[in-house]
Amino acid sequence: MTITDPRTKSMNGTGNSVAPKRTLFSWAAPANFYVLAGKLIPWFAYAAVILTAIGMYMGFVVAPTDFQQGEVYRIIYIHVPAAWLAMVTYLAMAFWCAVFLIWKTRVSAIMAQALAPTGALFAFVALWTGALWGRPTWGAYWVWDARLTSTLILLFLYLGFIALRSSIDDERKADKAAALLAIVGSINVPIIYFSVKWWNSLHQGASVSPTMAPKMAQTMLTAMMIMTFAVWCYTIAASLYRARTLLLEREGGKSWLKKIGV
Amino acid sequence: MSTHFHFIVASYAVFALAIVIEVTTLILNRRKALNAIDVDNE
Repeated sequence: MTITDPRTKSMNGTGNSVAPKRTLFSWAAPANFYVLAGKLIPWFAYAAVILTAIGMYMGFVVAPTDFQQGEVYRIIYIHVPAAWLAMVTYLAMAFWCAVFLIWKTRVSAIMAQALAPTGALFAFVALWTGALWGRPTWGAYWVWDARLTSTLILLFLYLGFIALRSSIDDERKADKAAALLAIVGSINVPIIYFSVKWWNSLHQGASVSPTMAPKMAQTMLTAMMIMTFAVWCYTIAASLYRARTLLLEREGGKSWLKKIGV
Repeated sequence: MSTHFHFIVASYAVFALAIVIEVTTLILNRRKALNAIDVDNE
């Protein structure tokens, strides 16, 4: 994929201006990434706010009461998006760590570092809302079930990643150590997803699957998907914002920051 | 069946609080990083 940037036109031997080809790797340059992230953040932030408002309206006003669980099922509109986000964010973090280890691009390491706190937050929210949903429906806040336990391990992996990164002073060594932990820990994500199939679990099976018809009312599903897109947009905005701050902290004083007017 | 209203409130309240804490932390950390660059430049 190539993208041409009119701001970076250069002269060839004939005196005509030539727009150099910009590849995906061009965005790994801190200056390019910093500018691009700054442009993307407002779009994702506004989308998150608008989608949350629509999702909440649909979830609490339009969607009907569940015939079995009553009103308490409405926790689904944050529980499921938070659980999905916690898993997908971890995979994204492991992906950026792999990119960092292969190509040594420091922006990749920064992206992984920027994703971790938001992923941990959603893992915690998934566990918290799951406990508050479990009490009225299962009769217990917590059981040592495969799905719940593996999600708790996911939270610990996030916290371990953050703790390991901050415990090593040398940035390069910290990035490498944390990247290895993230990649090895990613094996936990398929375990979480398939735990309800592989083991006898108190947790219900997948309500939404690419291969099956949804097991819930259309309005409930629509509200849940809108909330999922909302938390997606929030996660992207928050991670990009944090990545820009991390770039400032790590690259403070470098010439490219002055060139772009920071 | 009871509405279990308090469980719903506790779920959404903690979710909202977590988002508020994260956004506040993001903004404060960015200000801190920008201030550190300003001090370096001076």
